[in-house]
Amino acid sequence: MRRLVGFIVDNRDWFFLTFSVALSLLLLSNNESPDVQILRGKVNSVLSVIYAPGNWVQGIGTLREENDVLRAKAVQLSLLNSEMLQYKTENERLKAMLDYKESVGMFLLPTRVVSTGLSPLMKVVNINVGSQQDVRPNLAVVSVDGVVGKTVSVGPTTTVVQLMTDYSFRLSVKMEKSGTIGIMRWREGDVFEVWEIPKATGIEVGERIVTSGYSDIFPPNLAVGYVTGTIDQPEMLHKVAVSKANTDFTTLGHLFVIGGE
Amino acid sequence: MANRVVPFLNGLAVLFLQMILSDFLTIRGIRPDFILIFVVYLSLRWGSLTGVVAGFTLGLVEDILSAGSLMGLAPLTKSLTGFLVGRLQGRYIRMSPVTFHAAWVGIMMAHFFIFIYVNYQSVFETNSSIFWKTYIFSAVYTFIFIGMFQVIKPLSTIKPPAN
Repeated sequence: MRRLVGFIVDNRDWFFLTFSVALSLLLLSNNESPDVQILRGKVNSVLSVIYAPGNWVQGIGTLREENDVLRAKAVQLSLLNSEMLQYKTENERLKAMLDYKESVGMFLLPTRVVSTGLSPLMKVVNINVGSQQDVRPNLAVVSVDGVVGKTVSVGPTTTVVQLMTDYSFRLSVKMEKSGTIGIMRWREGDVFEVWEIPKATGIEVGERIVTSGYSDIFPPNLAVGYVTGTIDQPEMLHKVAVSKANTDFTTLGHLFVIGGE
Repeated sequence: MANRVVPFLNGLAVLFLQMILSDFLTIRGIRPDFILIFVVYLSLRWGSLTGVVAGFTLGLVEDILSAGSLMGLAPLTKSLTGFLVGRLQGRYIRMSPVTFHAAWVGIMMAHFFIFIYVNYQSVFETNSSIFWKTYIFSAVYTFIFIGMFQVIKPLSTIKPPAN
């Protein structure tokens, strides 16, 4: 027994390594566990205080620029709004004619990015709303420009948002003109690809890409990006639309969480 | 007692540094990995055991706070790095400088390869050039910072504590 204990003590670094590797692999295999998600949510809520000074400094730096952009955007939106009101009236009349069922109501919860995590790869951001504001996992998150991502771990006052730029993120999207459905996945920088597009479908450069609505998370017609080119090779069964995102992921600040009422 | 407290406090400081500076230093979604740099320095000073414990603990905190889709990956790669770099403790005088530096650089490159490969395995299959670009960029970005730290405290000057 003493020899065994002596052996363990002499090789304790190997034992610790084996234990660490085993525990890490166990964690990796339990990624979807609700307990792990809850733990992450709670820890992020507690530690969000640490990010406050950094956010404050960043906020001051970008405030003026942000203000100018928002002012310009407000003018654009007011112009767009008047146009939309016309369309709304027309749409309501047409819907009534078709006996169209009213879609489920949505709420928009304004929020702000408090941190972008610690990982060397930026795939998530933390936002300053949580379960206290009725946020739950798998809600769509958007900016004024378009889709940003979805909520994954929810704490009492903060929520982790998986960004569209995460390579494991997939989104069902639709080409606005042709109505073709495809699956969006990120490529690099601000470029993403839309896969599973039938070869016969014509796609125009500049065509807007929106959410298809074939998802429990994302409502239809949220702006995602626009087409910049296509990949159509003889050996491929489908064509791929190379696209650019509407959202600038390097300057995420104010976001909205979309949820059902 | 101080032997335990000082590395612990340094670890907290590095976590804080990573939290505060990450946002400012992000380029195309990639940031320098200060935690890894700390694990390398700590392991060379205190050895494999401390390296494994620090790598695992800090990696776990990193994963909890980052909430990516792969909880457990950072503790895995960082504890392996801590262990392997810890094996180089006190060997600079017995090894050729080239071998010593090639060893820790190789261990860090292996760390980045595992980390990026697990994260981007689908990209590796579909578009390997993006994978390699991401791998090289994220490794080089951290190496730039470890290079700066080398000016202040070269890894070759780190010696095990005197008993």
